[in-house]
Amino acid sequence: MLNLTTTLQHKNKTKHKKEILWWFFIISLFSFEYLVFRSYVLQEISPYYPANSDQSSYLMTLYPIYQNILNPNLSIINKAILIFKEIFLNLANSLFYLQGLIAFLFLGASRLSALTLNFTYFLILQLATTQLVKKLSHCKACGCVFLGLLLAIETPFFGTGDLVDFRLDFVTFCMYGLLITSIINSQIFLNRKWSIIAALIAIITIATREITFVYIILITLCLLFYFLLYKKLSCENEKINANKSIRNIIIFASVFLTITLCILFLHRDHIYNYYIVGHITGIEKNIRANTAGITDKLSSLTYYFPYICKHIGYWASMILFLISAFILYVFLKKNVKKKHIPNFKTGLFFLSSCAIIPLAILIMDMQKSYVVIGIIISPILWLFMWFFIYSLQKYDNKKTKQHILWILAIISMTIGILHYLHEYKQHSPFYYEHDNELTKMYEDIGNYTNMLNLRKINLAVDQINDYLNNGTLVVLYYEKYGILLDVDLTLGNSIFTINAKRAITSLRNSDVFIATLHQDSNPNSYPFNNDMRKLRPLLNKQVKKLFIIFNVYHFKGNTYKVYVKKYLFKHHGLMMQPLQKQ
Amino acid sequence: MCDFFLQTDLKDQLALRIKRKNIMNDQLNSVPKTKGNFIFWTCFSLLILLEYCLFRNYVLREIANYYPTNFDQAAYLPITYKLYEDILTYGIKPIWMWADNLNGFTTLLFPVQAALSYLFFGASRITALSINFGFFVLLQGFTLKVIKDISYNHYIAFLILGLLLLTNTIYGDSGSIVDFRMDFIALCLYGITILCVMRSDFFQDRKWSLITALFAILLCLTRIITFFYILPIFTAFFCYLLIEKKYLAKTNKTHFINLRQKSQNILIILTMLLIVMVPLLLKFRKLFHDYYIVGHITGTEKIIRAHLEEVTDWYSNLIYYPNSIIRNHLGCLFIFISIFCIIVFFLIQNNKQHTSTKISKDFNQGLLFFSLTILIPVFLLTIDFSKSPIVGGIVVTPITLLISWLVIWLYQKGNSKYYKDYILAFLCAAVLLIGFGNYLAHFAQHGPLYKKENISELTKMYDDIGDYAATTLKKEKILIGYDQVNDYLTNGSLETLYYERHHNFITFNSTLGGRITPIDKKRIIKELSNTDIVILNKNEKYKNEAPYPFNITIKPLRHWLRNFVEKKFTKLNTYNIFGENFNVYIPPVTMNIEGITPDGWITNSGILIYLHNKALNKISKIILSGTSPFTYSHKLNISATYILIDGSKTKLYSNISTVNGKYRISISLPKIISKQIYINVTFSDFFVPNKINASPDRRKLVMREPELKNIISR
Repeated sequence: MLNLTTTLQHKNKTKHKKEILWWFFIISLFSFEYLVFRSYVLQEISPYYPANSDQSSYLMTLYPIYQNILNPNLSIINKAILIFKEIFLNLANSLFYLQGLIAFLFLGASRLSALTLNFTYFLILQLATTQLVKKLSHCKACGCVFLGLLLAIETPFFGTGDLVDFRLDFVTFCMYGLLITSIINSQIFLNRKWSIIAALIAIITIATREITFVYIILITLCLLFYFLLYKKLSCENEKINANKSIRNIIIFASVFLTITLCILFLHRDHIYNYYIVGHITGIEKNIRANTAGITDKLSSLTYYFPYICKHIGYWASMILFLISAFILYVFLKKNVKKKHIPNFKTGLFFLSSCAIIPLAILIMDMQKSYVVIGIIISPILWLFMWFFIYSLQKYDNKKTKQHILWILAIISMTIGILHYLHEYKQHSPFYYEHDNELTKMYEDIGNYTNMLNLRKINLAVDQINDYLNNGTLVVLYYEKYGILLDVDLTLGNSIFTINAKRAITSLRNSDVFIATLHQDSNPNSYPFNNDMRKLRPLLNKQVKKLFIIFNVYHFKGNTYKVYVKKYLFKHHGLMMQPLQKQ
Repeated sequence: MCDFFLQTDLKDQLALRIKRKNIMNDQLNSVPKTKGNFIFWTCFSLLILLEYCLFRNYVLREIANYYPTNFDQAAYLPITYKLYEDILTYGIKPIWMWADNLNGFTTLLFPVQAALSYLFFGASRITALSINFGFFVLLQGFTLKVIKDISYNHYIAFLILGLLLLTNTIYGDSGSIVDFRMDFIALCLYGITILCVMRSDFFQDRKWSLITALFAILLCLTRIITFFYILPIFTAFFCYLLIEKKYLAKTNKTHFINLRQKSQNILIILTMLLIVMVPLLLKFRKLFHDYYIVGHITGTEKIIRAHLEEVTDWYSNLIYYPNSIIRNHLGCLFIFISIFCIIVFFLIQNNKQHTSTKISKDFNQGLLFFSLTILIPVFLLTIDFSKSPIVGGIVVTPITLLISWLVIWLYQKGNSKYYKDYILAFLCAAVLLIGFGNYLAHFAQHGPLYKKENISELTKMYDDIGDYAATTLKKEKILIGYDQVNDYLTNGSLETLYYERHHNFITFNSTLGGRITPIDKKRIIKELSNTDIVILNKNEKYKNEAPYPFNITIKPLRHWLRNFVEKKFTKLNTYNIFGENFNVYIPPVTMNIEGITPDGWITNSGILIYLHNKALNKISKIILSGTSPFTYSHKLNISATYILIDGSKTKLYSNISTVNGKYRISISLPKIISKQIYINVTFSDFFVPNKINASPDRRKLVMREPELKNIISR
């Protein structure tokens, strides 16, 4: 008896030690990831403009709200009202903004704080999935395999919608992964507590990106039909479980529907304008499809598949190949036990629907973007892991299993960490494109207008791209000097066609004009860019009449001339103008 | 016989200790220990992490970029930076040197711990203020641990933590967590010392009594005046124990032993305290005499300070600190929520099933001890006529702990019912949430300096003065004078800002405007005779002026002062700060520049620099700098020739550099025997505004007139 107790105590101690080691490993890895991420953001991202259009618009919205919140004359109740009004009533995908605002309040208003939000979600995803895989497989090595996979995929380093891009896509990728993880943890709606947690995660996911409502509701409906069918076809014992699952699905759906429908109702106008008009009834979808190179049905159908492969990437494919080889080996082996593993088929159905439903919806949408498809990477990885865990349970030789698992874990972790390091231990594209000149251009414009005490700046650009816009000016100047400029884009604020009359009127109304020397010659470019190319001689005359050159900048292999209004120049005297002599 | 009694005593003591330990273990085991503790401390760590993020963000955003406000921190910060620089140069020796003379400050450890933390985290305002935060974390940690250990309840511990976060004293402007002075650290250490006393069951436990002694010593060494709080508190409590032992505990043997144990422990603490503090007080008796006896009792300064705080009669003197503590340090929210908590606990306790707990036995002693920790400092501060709204903050923690004592007593008095824990959990969550919300609300807003007009000009002014002192004056100590006493015109602010921005420590001493006492013409002349730099208000009138005697007496003399200074000094520049225009004057070297157009332009005709000084031979270089917003078609060159009174000319080495719209002209001078010279400077290029469509102006312009004119000595 005494011996047994001692052995048990010894076992417990060893287990406890192993747990401590595991957590030490996880914390060390996460700290390492953060340090690498932080140094990359500070060196390669923050000094440059917020790329890919979206993040500059998000940051431009958030910085003024943050400044308003800091107003010491507002009481805490007024601040709460302000947040509700500015974020929940006025902005769609409001939780994303709210999270950004909270990050600014705690960490300061900077690009690093904004991107730390992405990083935090990525860490939570890594932790949750690894812990669940560890729990399902009863093996830490299996958790390591998934962790390595997450670090080896390309989604966090994709260039757009990645870890260092402050936009909805990456947070949604992580939240969707977390939702799937929580549903798997609930044994596909068998556990009530986890079903409610999954509902809460679904609420956060939808409040962060409202379009995910369509994916989640369809997946829920599919699962409900599956369980109803399952109940009809299965025996008594299984019927009890199916009933439980159905009840929990109903609870899950009612919890998340109650809250998300309110949110969606609040933002109904925005949803209509953005998704119905922008993606279905309007002409913008055709322009976007054209720029994405979609010309016929086949190209529309096959558009996302190469990008799925790109999101998974070469290194993760290698790990997946090894996992597949193991699965194949187990399935082809003759003397494996025929074990019945509960929930396998349900899980398979659930994960497949999690991957197929968003893919189908995205394919149906004419307005394509290679960023959004990142969302289905989590279910794809989970599908592989699901088979892997299943094959592990079938495989009986414990010793060999352990060896194989640890070899796989080491390979996966090595690939993952090396991939992570490789991605962040190199210069960003901004560095090679001399984007510090671009930063300087915006700083000069900001300093100039700030010196003149211009309350509102009307900016005009002759080309639409992600760096010539008002958001970039506001964001860069605020991050550097802590001063918020009020900038309006008079010319270049819409991708649609423009005629000479409107272009000239817009130019007349602007204070600062940025002219590109070599304009975009791509025929698939936005209609605005194509029109501006034609209007160039006419605009040049107007520019000479109304503006005076302020300075010339070279970046991204092009030359940009900044013009300022003549009356500003005369009114404020010569001493203030950092003029480049012609 | 005696031995027999001693043995019985020892046995009893042992039995008592074992019993106490068993009770404690039993009660502690009732809580799911490891998991509960893990969650408890994880919650605390998360809270601290969030607090630190907010604190750091606030300091970097609202404090570190600006001058150190409220006088005191402008005095402490330069001391710590100097000590740090000395440590980097001479090693550990400057610490002993500091401990040997204290440089007129009534603290031993305060600058030392700051200088040591600079070694680890770098010399900056955030590091300095992080010490405050570190002590605040320590206070919160001790509060949590001690309250949990005493009440055996996690919720009550978090509730008291929430109450602590509700106090105003953490957030105010002066003496708060973002003000680098001793008061906040003293508040924390005083609280920790009292918590240790609580944890030692009011000196019953030897280990915790020794920890109490350590924290009490740390407190006294950090703020020496607190020794005069601690000593009477402990002595009074010791006297009470003696009286209780003699008259009240005669019949109860166990109680008698307890009291004897407590008396012994308190004696040990007092001995340790006296061993450390008496030699220190003797060594620095003159310093303490000058600071406390002259400054606070016999001198006239106390009357000025009392007058500033509107203390005019005995009644206003009597209510000053209670009023200050309630209004400035505790705040309405704290009082309201504390009363609410006590009412809730009173309502949920059940008197019928009265259980005798440990706390109920010590309740009276606790009540007395907390009263002493509150009343003795308030009494000592009240009898001091020199009032300060900051120092009353020290009693904030004992007041919070007194409330916690009442709450724990009420909680343990009643029977434990299931619903009680629910109410408690809810109350704890609500108070903690409000407390943290209060913290968030205070740190998620702009500070008082954010909206001040042209605050960056002040930094620029100090930068220019520092640059001038570093490149031209090159003296060990530079004397600076002002025509007003306020917190932004101090030598400390100048030293601090210049060091933080340039990491070059220059010692400035104040002459005029360094004290709040009245001044007359004779003293002004005397003080200005040694002064190197003078800062005067250009308009001779301040919008907001503190009613210090200096400010009142100098008011009618300002016009005379300005004329006097302008005769003796040269103007360096004018700065617009907080809506006031300040002229900065430097030593009397006359340098006039002729040839500048009335609208401030240098034309292609060049300029004529006129120098007049008794010691021209000591001048090695003239530096002129300003704005040159244009790039020229050719490289801009200058040529400088030096013309003597007899008309003879010599070419001088000169050069000009233009970077980012700014220019810097440097002209080197040989040793000149004459008292006055002319230097002619001409330029190789110019521009005509009309030709570049900038304005109708047809003049041939070169650049704007220089903004800074520096003369560099040999």
